[in-house]
Amino acid sequence: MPKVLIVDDDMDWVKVLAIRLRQGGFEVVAATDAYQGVALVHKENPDCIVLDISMPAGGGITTLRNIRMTLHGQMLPVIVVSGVGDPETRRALQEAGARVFLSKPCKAEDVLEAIRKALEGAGAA
Amino acid sequence: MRKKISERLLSHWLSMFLFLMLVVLLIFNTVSYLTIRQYNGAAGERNRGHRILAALEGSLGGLLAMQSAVRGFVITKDPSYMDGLTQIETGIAQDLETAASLVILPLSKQRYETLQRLAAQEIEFQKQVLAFYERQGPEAAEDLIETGRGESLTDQIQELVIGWRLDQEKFIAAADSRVRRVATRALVFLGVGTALAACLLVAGGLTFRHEMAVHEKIERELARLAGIVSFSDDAIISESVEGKILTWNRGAQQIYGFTAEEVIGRHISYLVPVTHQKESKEILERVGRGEHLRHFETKRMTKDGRVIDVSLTASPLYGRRGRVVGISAISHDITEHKRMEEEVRQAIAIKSRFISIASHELRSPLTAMREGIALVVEGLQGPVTQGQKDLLDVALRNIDRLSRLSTDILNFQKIESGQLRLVRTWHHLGEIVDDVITTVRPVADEKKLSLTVDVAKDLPRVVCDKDKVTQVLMNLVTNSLKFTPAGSVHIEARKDADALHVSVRDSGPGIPVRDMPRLFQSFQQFGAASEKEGSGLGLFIAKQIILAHGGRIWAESQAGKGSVFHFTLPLQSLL
Repeated sequence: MPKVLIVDDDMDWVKVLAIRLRQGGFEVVAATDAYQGVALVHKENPDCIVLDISMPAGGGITTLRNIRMTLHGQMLPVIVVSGVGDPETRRALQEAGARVFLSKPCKAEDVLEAIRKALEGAGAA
Repeated sequence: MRKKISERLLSHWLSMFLFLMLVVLLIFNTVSYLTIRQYNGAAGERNRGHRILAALEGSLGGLLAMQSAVRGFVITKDPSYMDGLTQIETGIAQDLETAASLVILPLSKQRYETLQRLAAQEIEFQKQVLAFYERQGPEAAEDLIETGRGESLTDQIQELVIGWRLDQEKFIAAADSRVRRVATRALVFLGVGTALAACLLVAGGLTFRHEMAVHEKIERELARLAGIVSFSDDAIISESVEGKILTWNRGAQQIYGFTAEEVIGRHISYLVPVTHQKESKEILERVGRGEHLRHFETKRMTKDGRVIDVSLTASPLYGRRGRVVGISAISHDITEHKRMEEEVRQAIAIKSRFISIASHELRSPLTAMREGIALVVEGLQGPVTQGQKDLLDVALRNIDRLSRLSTDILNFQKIESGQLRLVRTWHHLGEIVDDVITTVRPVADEKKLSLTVDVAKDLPRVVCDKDKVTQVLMNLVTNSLKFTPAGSVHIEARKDADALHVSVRDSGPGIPVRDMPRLFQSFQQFGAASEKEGSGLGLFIAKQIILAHGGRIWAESQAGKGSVFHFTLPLQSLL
């Protein structure tokens, strides 16, 4: 079962998203801040990351860069889900290796769909 | 300064007239002097002529009287004839002397000498007659008178005097005519001169009056300007090219706190805070070179050390030869204005931040809420009754509505603060239409509306922000579906001359004419109260997005026959 790591400080959202993803056939682990997120990448070896941009203790960009520095995190597909969508932040995230962007409010099904697509791509590669 | 201008203007014409008057007077005086001299000369000549004539007549008369007296005495022997003889002789001598003192011309001198000689001979002859009478008796004396040369002498004298007198009279007549001529000329000259002088006086007077009027006007104008300068609330300062303060108005005193006495003569840098000294020096140099400075915002320091914001307008003052001789500086205190501007700026920034935060913070909880309820509705957490499901659907619909509202407000804030940025790439319009149709199809089906699409086959790709254009089309289609109770909604896309043209046509009730002008304005809601569930920003945002793409958006409507919304996307859009 593919493992998804959700890094988001909105606990309620994490909760409902986790239910949806589990129902969709994924194993889910969640972190509510950047440090925890980086630690879990190392510990849990997830197959995909769903990342929020605005979080306490380091923004999404910093988190992503840190994840990219871990051995396992180098090639991980990352889906960014956030309310912030200005082009500058997008460009910076793209440079750091984010592949898919979803703006809040989005449906959990959209996230599920994006994860499936990302994993298919990774599998093909 | 004031005096100079008025003096210059006043003297220009007037001095010319004064100079002309002076010249005319000089000529007049010279000619008058010459005329009087001429007149005097001529009159003197005439007078001399008359006096010579009188002397000649006198001497001739004397000689004839002497001759008669001697003759009378000899014939009658009456001694009384001899009474005035000595006196007559003295008279003749006196007349001759007078004539001698008057004659000038060589001919007259010659005649005089002859006359003198003849008169002496005549007198000698008469004395000889008297001597004969004494020595040889009256007969001998009578004989001498008869035979002597007395008669011929008298004739000679008479002839001489008559000839001379004729000449003298001619001379007098000539002198007379000269006197008359000079007098006439003098009269004419006097008349012309007086007339000329009068003309000049009148012209001079008129010029003077005109110049006085101009002068007065200038004075009034200057007084008015001085009034404006002195009562202006702006600081109006004039400086030398080097920056020395020359004048200081009341506005300057109000703004800077210094009185005129305190600053006149000081350098303008006295009013400039340390941080702006260099800039002030540059301004001085630039204006000194003839540049103008308009509404330049800078800082100045007041007497009590406050640093104030001023808007400075500085211009060069030119001298008569076109050289910059000074600088005028008008400064307007904008401290308060700046403060208010800053407050407004801050207020706008706070509002923007508030809207931004509020919308973002609204969105996250909405997402979680929606997802949680959706999980329940789908029965993933256990069975749900139809009644529960209906109520949860109500909740979901309202969450979607709140979500749309927050999106609209966020978009509006972006547009208002100029942050609407397009991510432009090449797209097929057909794909965008398909996306929208897929999303709204369930709504149309639910309302049993016919939703049809007609996208031209060979549409070229267009440069646009896909998300934003989707948002516009979605807005138009959702509106049509919302306001159309029954019938159809038709989407059409085709290529115009230089743009792609999309239209959304519905068979709804149409838009009242009075609502048409406000259609694309912000916070406008239309339709019945029950239909007013949006933010009233949808069409406004759509318009801004299309305008940002360089396209057009408009609507056509006929009451009872439905509405058509159009927008275009230019094909020649710059990336």
